[in-house]
Amino acid sequence: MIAFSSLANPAVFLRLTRRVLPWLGGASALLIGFGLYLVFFVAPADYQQGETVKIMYIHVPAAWLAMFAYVVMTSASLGVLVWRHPLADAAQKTAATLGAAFTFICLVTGSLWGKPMWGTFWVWDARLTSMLILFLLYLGLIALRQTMEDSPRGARMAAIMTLVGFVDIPIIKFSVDWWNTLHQPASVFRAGGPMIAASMLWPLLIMALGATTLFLALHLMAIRNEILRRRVARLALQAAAAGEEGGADELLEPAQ
Amino acid sequence: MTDEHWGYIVLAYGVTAAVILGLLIRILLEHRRLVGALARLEKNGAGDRGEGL
Repeated sequence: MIAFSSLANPAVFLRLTRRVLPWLGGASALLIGFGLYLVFFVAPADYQQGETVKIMYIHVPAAWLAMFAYVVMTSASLGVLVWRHPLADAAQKTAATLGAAFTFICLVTGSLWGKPMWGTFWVWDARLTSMLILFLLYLGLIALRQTMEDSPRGARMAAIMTLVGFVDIPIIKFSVDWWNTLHQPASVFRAGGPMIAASMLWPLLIMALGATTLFLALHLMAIRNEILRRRVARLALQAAAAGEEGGADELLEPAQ
Repeated sequence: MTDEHWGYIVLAYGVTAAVILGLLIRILLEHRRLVGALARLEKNGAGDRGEGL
């Protein structure tokens, strides 16, 4: 617990992540590179889907990460509401953009797979609709943070909204079991074990691991930026208050 | 499997690469901007080396 709380110190966090990031980035590049080699040169075509199954090697990891990012945001929201820790707030805020990006990738790649396989880009199926709701939740949270900027009230509101939105995660996961959907049921994380042949499962798992390390690297980089952005804003305010010249207004420009 | 399906595959991987690269470039450019702004402020004497957020 002591080690964990010391990690929550922004200076320690910046120092530690500076050392960890090159390893995470390298691992991510290696895993995704190796995964892509397996996908395009080793993994066989599916007997029903043909080569279109190759889209699944990015669609499935993107779907997992879309939900994982929300779980990260929910955990960080608890940190905001219970401990009111600013680093938890930075983690919550920055995960929203990444979550939205991975949800977007999941929706687009799913549509591009659906057209040749189902004959349509979109159906109002429970899994697809709940995933679209997740995307809208991310957009809503990003918009909320942009309107409330860095205020503690904005952080608490975003944390509460995140916790309320968490109800969508089990709905996404179990939608294929609870309702009769066009989307196929779980084929990797299921009670009876994976239903996929090993020649397709391994490339999928390697791509998923690569995408997860990429997500972690991007998230750490984004948190570092958020720490720096708040430090710059505070210093610029202090400089402006002290009547210093030197473009404090320019430095106060909010991060895009 | 027709050639037409490869179009969907290429598009799916292309969109994914564009989104990921876009995110990465945006984060790196923002980092460069923030480090520059911090250096300018510290040079101008607003040198708060505190650890708070």
